[in-house]
Amino acid sequence: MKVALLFGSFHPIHEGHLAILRYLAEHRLADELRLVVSPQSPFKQGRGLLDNARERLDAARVAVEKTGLPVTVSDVEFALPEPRYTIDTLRYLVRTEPDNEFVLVMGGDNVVSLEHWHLADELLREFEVWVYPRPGTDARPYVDALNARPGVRGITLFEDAPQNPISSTEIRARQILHYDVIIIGGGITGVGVARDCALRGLKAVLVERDDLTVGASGRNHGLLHSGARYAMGDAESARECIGENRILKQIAPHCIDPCDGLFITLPEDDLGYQRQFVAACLAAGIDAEAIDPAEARRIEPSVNPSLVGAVLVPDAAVDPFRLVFANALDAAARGAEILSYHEVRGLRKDGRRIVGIDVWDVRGKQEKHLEAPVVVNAAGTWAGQVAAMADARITMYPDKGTLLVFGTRVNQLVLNRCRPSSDADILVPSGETTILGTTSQRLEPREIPGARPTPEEVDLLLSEGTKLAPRLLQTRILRAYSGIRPLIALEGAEGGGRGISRSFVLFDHERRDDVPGLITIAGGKMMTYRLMAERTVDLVCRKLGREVACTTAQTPLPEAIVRPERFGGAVICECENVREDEIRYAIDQLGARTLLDLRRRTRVGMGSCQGQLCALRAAQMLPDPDVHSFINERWKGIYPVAWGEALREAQLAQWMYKKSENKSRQHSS
Amino acid sequence: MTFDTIIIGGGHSGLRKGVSLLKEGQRCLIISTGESSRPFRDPDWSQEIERHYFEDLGGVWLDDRVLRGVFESDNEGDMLLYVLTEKGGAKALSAEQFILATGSFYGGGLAADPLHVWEPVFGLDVFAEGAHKDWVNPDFFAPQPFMEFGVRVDAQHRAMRNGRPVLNLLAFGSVVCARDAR
Repeated sequence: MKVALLFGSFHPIHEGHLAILRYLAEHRLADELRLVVSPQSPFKQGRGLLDNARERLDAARVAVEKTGLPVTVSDVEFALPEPRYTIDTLRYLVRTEPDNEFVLVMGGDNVVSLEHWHLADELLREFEVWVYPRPGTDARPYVDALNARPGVRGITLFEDAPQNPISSTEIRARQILHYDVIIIGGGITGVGVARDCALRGLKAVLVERDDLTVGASGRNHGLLHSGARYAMGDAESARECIGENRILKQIAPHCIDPCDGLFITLPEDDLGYQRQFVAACLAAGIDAEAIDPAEARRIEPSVNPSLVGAVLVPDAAVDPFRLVFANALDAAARGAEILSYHEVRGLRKDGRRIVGIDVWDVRGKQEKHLEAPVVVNAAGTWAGQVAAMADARITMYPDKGTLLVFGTRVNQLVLNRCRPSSDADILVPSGETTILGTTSQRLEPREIPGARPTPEEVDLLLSEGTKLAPRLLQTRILRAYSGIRPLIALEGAEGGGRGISRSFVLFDHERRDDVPGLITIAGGKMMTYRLMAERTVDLVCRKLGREVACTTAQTPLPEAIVRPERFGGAVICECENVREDEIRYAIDQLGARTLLDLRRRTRVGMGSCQGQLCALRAAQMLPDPDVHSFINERWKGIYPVAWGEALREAQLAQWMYKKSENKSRQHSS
Repeated sequence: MTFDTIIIGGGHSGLRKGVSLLKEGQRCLIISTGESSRPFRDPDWSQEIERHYFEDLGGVWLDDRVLRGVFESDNEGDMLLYVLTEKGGAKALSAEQFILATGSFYGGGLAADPLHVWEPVFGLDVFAEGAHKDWVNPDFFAPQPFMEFGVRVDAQHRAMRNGRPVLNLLAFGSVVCARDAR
């Protein structure tokens, strides 16, 4: 049997596709007509909105059925490994259906670039090609040129076939895509909301103007609070923390190091505070236990030996990158769309009501229009700007915190000072490194883009932080980094009061500002994201009139970043043991395009060499191999700590990455 | 065994000086920790091959670390009498002339804490300005002040100590501050 194959993403299927099928059927050119729908992984950015491949497949089936044409729709590519080149699929079909003869059908616009396809010569030798004309492209010269090549099976141009001026790309530009919920912001809160929506059966789409985790979600302590830190002043936050601490240890064990923590009292601190502290913890439901200083030194040898008091609490360390990607992957697997590198350009309105958003697809370079009855503003530090587009006012208090990463794991337990919160009083183990934080500095919104660690903050962190564990003084500093806490004013919050809180707030802008259709979830802490999402989606459900119970507290998260031991191939990053296959996985499944994307997904470049040795190797595998911006980004965290070992490494990096400049300087001198 | 010249540092500069002095007929010792930054800058350069060449010409190689030196002062300037090493204990190694080729920060020829840059073997005069925040440029690819830091030398490449040249101690390679090297 002769089978004519029409490949495409059918994104969406349209009259142009159907016209060519009709033409082929009328002329009885093949025994069978088959559409081969190509899947795209949910994270491939810049592709489009109907990126639920199964939906595209179903839509194609429905459209074909309606025409009554003898066409089948094939999902054969869904089962084939990436990368899926047309030649691979064709050869697979030949192997599995040896009795059939396959013909490749394509538009004239594709013939223009056919010679650059993967294994184009083999493809043309092994398969016949049929070409239908497309407006604006004269395929004839290309067809003739290719036919003149030796061994070509034959390319036929159907010059009399109907030409349809519409392309999928043009349709998408006009199309408005409909959802139940639109979520703005790809931090931990946004992906948590997307996953909760998906679990409750809501059709959700998340837009993020950059990559997931680029804001505060990727720039924090990685501390899974026990709540003890807040027990004295903010019992509500403390109770939220201990509740979420227990839940996350259950649903996301692969993101958490359940190391426990100590609150230590030093001779200069007030030991009387410790007694009140323990009582406040117990009142908030936190298992806090005062232990003997000698016992503290035994379980945590790095602790300042002059301590006079210690309290053991269930603090833990959490990998925020893993947690975000676990939520995003699970949301996508359950039908949500995660559109990173999509920037909100404006809100779509009906009077004061918000009915959707216009977004710019940064990588696909096109505008898209999304509509939904509810838009959730989870933009973190930028929540105020989103609200302003809706004519609602939110006052954010962006607050910069700077942290230091040390090159070895100094402490096994989280170390805190048992005193009112201050600068540099938390030391959190993070894998094979240690993170010391933090400072606190109020910023004006215009200062946010340039916020980075300063040498003065580094000096402050070191002078205070080394009191927790004196060994830090002899430990190499890898880098400094800054995050922006998205603190928020509480005016008019659901059930809120006044002032600035470290707790979260949920604004129903319909009630607060007469702006129906918009909800803002802001403030809070990385580790209470699940609770924030639960409250948010409860409100979304009420607004949609679809009350479904939240199940995120019981539903375990998938392992977003598969454990390194499961991956093979050459080691690309020695410091973090990242192998070739993991990088491919991050590219194919997690949408990594640049070295910066890759770092957030695999920890490449986060270890002791800070990317010096692995950046060039890893870059060669990536779609966008820009090393320059990666090295400069890493440098932002190194130059504030450039002495000792960090300065040695910095000098090595200068030699390695400025080699061409050095060479030319040598020659000129 | 006595030496005309003791070279401290067996990287690119130390080996190159050693080879040329041997060719002039000098007896030459290199004391080296084995570290070299050169391969990162020039992958074609092999410390192993250069070392074999040095030894074939009669040079002596000592795997050790120089801890400090003992100086004698007179009106002309300082003289380095001998050096002490990690493995040698109290055993003094002396020569007519010494050459410092210990490299920059990477090689260990310079050291830095947040406030100071110093030359850790002899406490020689170092060119460096300000404290750590002044040593770097926020743009990695812009010129970095710390890359210019190093030991001060006079016009004859003699290392400076307390503002005066050490008469029998020359410095070469990246341990020397870039301004004086030019």
